[in-house]
Amino acid sequence: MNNTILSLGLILLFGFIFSRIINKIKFPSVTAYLLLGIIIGPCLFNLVSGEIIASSGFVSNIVLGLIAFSIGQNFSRENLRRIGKPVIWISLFEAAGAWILVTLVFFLILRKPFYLSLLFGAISSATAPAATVMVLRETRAKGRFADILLGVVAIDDAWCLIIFALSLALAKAMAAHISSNLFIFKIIINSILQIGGAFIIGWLIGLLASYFSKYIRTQTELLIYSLGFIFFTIGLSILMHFSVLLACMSLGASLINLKRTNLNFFDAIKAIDPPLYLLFFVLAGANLELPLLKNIGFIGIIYLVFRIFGKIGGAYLGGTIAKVSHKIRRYLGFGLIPQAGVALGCALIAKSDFPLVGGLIFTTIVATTVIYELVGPICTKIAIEKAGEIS
Amino acid sequence: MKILEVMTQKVIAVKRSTSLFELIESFRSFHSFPLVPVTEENNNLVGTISFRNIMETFRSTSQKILITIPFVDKEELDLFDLEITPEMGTLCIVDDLMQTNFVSIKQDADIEEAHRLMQLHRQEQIPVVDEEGKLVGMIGMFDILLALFREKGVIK
Repeated sequence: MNNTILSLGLILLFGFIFSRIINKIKFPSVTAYLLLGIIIGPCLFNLVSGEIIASSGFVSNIVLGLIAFSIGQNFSRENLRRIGKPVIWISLFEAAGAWILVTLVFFLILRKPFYLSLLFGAISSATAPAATVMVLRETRAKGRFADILLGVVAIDDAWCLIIFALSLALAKAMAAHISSNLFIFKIIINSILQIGGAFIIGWLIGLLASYFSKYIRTQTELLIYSLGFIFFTIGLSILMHFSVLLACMSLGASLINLKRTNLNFFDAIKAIDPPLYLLFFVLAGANLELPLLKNIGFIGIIYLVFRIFGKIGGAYLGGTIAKVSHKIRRYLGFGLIPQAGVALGCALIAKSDFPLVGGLIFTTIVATTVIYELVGPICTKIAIEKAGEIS
Repeated sequence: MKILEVMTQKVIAVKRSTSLFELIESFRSFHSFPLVPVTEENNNLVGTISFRNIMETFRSTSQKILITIPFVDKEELDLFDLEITPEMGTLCIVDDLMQTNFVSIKQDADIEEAHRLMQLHRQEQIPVVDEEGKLVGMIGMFDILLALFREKGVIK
């Protein structure tokens, strides 16, 4: 389709209808948007204009910036105290568990280049909070298991973004300096620059945003002001080759910790993000290259299986260190199987940063996301049931 | 015009340890539940409670954790679907319900500033404090309107 505005209208309207239908069968809207993207994408009905498809990188940068900004508010002292040590230990281990296991399996068993394995590993650390929250609401689960599960999925995406930013910096440096003698030295310097620089500009922009917020008079101004600073952070990070994700997360974290104002920047941007999220997921689905699917069979299965092993093993280990009950240790990993938004966003970034292998990463992640989003909520439900917390 | 001249000085405040039962009893004869200030023993303002804060307490999952999660479909509060048990009246205390990130204003500020804050934070009322952060009154849209009416001669 060539008519971009008509295409945008159709995406939003179909998204609305699709999410209503899929909510009826107890799946989150995210799944509906992704499936819709695949159906109306160029491979099937071709209702998404080429211009919109071409702007996928632009949309995903903005949406991931908004997500990272929102996730940044997790890093307040009050929030970390509220979620508690068990959640921090378990979430760190389940995220790192999937990251390390998937990376090693891709590198050692599938014999893929290390930078590619690292990217797959990093993306595998993400979960899908929306799907888990939906199951928790539906089952009206209450108790220690449900509380820890909710805390873990809430903070997991923050770890994933940090892990992905680290891995992306390393992967880029490895891919760029593959023939250099100063290989390791350059990799380390480049990675430190990308990550450290992102943290510093995020925090500095947060200071600026916090200081000048005294001039805001209305909610509309607050929305414009917040968006302006987020876009400024994203743009500046791209310009200076810093990590967009970490810079936005650092901006969010600085605003929540500086506390110079009672203004809620995070609530303000919630007014505009639903249609952007919808567009982001539909575009993720539309970017799926169906012909590539047949090439990912074995890789896809390995990714599906070892990500689950990593999550379950990591959650068990984290639970053991945090000394939680045996039931929580044993079943929590099963509640972390869904995978969605953050993984797709990271895959889109990988796709645009690594044109040669990006298609393979992206197609694998979209295909496995569809499977995880359909099977994951059922596993989460069983885990809650086994833990004996279904009301 | 300064806030001190138009604010309501007779304010019902509660303590952190006040139970939900006592809180509701204090305000059940009101037309609607107001914004209630929470003070310490020395009258320092430490939080506020609105009707929404009370409802949030009865949600099945902790909303404070959910606000940081992207893509979560918003769950509208359904009054008829809240998990309410009789013992909550005594078990739930103001400390669990109150909002600690609240808006307040100094008594020597102008009423225009109070109006700006109310619009910005979409609130009808704001607690008023002195230099030391002690609660001295409440100012609402109605107080500002009364002051304006008085000034223009609509009322005496």
